[in-house]
Amino acid sequence: MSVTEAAGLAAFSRILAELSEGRPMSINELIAACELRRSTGFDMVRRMEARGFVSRTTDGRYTLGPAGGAFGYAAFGLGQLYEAAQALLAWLRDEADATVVLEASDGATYTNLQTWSAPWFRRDLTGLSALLVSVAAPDGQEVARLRLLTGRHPDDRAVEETLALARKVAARLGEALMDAAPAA
Amino acid sequence: MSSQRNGVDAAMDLMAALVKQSRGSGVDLAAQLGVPRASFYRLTRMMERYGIVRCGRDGIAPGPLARAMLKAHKVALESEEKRQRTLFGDHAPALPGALPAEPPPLARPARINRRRRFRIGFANRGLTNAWQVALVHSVEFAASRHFEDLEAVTVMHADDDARLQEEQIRQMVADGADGVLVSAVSPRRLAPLTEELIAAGKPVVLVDRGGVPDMPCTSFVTSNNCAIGQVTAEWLAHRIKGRGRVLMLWGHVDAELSQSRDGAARRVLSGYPDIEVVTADATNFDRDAAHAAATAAIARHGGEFAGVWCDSGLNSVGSIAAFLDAKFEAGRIPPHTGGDINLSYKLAVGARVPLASVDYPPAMGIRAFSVLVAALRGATVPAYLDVWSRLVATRGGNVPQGMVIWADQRVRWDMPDDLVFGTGLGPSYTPEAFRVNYPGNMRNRSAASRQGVDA
Repeated sequence: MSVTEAAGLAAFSRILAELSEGRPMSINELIAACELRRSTGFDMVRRMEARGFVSRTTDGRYTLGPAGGAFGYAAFGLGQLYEAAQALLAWLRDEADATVVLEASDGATYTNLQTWSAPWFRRDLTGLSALLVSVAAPDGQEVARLRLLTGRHPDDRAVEETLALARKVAARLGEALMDAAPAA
Repeated sequence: MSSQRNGVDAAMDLMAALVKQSRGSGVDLAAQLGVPRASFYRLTRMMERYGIVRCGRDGIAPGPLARAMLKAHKVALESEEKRQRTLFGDHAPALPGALPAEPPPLARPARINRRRRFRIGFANRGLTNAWQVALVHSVEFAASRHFEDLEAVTVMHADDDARLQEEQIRQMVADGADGVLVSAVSPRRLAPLTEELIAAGKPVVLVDRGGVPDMPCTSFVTSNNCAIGQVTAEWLAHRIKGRGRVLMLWGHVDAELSQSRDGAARRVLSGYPDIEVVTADATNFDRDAAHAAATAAIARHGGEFAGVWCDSGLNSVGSIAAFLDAKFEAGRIPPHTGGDINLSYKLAVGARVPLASVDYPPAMGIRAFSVLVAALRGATVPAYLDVWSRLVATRGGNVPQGMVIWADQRVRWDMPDDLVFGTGLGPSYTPEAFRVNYPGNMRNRSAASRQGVDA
């Protein structure tokens, strides 16, 4: 690896690390924080934006983009799920009026990957009904689960309908994993 | 291409490969990415130093930084979600008992356009009634709220001429539109063109009309007409205690909207053996035609109707007026369905007519515009999306509170009869005073005016 190449890779890595702190940053802040030459900073951010690793907020600052989010999912073996989850789980939240949580499973513990909050949802609300639905890999093993929090004490029929729909959404997420190459 | 470009691109390629397969052997990944093994080794060691990947005996996998990236991305998404809610309001959930049985298919644009700002064309079928004006206003409102995402928005009306609409869409694309939003005059006729555009990487989002099978489009945003028919017919059946004669007034024999509502309502009513259904001629969504049809039915049956199921507000307005003209006193007119416009609620509340409605919301224009912007940004979007409205009903009957907006709260006595509800533009919205500012609209004037437009 040439010196230039290593410098470019270092710039790329530092930008990812800075934005992983969770604070949107302007290009000038990024350049200063990563100690980059201005031309390198501009070029790198442009290339990362083109590949979806960073995206711009409406005020022009940078945050991690969808490719960064998908790489985060990949840490739990669920990178393939990312795009389908963004579209389907937001849709499920809106239709069912439920807060939808996607949790990764390693067989023993569950880790919250992302929450799609219903308009009425607050984290300090207690006594919410929770519906749990497994997301299974093609081999049938649970790799994630959906937790649906419904806040309006729905009747039995509404619960059954919501559960049935959530199961179909989970099946679709499982299908998204089918294209994944087997783990080495 | 410089060596610097290759190194960073290889790093991004490796991360994309790990998104797909989570873990892989160095040999396989190097071969897959076309990177010489020695270079690949140096690349991964450097990425490992920053925690991007983890290299071990079991292969190469995302490193500890991936979890930090997920956390940061979550924060960014939540913040964006809050912003969207502030700008566009909340989406109404599915109507009780009408939750879809299946999730929608998903669509991803064939080509991702990495432009910062987009040029969007809105091909509107025409401006022949107040609902279509409201739809254009909703689309323009969405454009104003997406100001930062847009370079220009062009709005064209086709005057219900399918050929003109096709020409207008071609013109928009020739002028540089990155994607188009279409309220189609004839979805079938547009199919070859939309297929061509999608293949060329131009997302096409259909709004209101377009739900023909196999119609090529990125997404179709509408409202669930079957659910509207079902929920209003269930209300009516309960209200008349499952017995009596029901007059059915529907808009148009050919309109998919009318057929879906009518079919769903008939399925519900057929479950009540003591309900007799009488069908009037199609009214073509014309208030006077609805009045004439209801007058004829009253004359034929002596006004002995337990209820009147109307597929839309224009029909309920005509029918209630016919009952009033036939000297039915306030409080003696049978229950009706069908709202959408202010006059329906004015008549129902004023003449104490039990009424229920699920508005067909022009706010679908806001949602459709946002779906198009998301597709332009490369996001996967639902290929089919329903925009829901809540049940509006007059007080009384067996409607559970909390599931309904009362008609006396919805009616606007201070507003014109033809005010359309469900625009998503807030309670202060009036079509006459609507002004909007979006890129491509220099004078803050809407592309749709109510002048010369029927209710």
